Amino acid sequence: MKRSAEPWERSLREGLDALAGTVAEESPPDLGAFIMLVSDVQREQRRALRRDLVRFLTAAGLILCAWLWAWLQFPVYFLMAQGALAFAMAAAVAWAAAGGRRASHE
Amino acid sequence: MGDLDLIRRAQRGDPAALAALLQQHYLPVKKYLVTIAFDRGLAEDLTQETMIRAIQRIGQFQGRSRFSTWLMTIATRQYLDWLRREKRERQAAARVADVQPLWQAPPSPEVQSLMAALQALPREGALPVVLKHYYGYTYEEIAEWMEIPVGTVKSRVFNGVRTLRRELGQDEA
Repeated sequence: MKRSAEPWERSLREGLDALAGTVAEESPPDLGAFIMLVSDVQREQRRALRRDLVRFLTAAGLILCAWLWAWLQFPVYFLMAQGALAFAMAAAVAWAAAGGRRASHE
Repeated sequence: MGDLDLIRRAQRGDPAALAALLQQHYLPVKKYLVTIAFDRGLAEDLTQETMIRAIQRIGQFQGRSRFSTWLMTIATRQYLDWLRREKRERQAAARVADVQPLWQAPPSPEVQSLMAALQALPREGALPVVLKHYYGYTYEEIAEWMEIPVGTVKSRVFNGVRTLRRELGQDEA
């Protein structure tokens, strides 16, 4: 930290030191609270990653199916089956997410 | 245990190491945020957000700067996000009154009037003054943290300092 040369800088330093001094006497939360915070944040991160992965795979799967349908000239029921599959996957993801939320509240 | 060892373990996925690392740096981050936000309640909230962001991004810490500097960068961005998100310039100005009870021993009238003038500056104008003249960071570092051009930082510091000098009757212009 640079040494102040002017009166306004000394006043600034003094005022901010006084503000910072109020925190210096506090103690941080205990280690257990930090471990819990780290676990919660990392769990949420993993859940978000899984969610994104499922979304990506679903979208990729649908695109692939649509491409196959167009390329191989499958009948219309293939398209209906594809829609049903997408609906089932979305329901499974929603069900899994709800289960995760329930578990985190217990 | 040193920061480096804890960082390595934290990056390998050891939650206890990361928790210990954050606990060590909790008060310095909070202290820093109090000096830039002038508000203990806000500093407390932003410290929490900074810790959460650090947990999410610990894998991206490459050791180019000290861990404490990395945390301060995150804290500064959290504060700037808060400013932008909430657009609380007016409310922040109303927080001046909150600062007085923070001091255990009231500072001299000169310091009090300077602090009032500092808090009356637009928040994004006060921040570079504090970073430059209290923490001693370079214009380039401040520009990088605030994601604004160096020229803008210089101009904000110049204008801020001129206001503070005027407040203390030291304006030579």
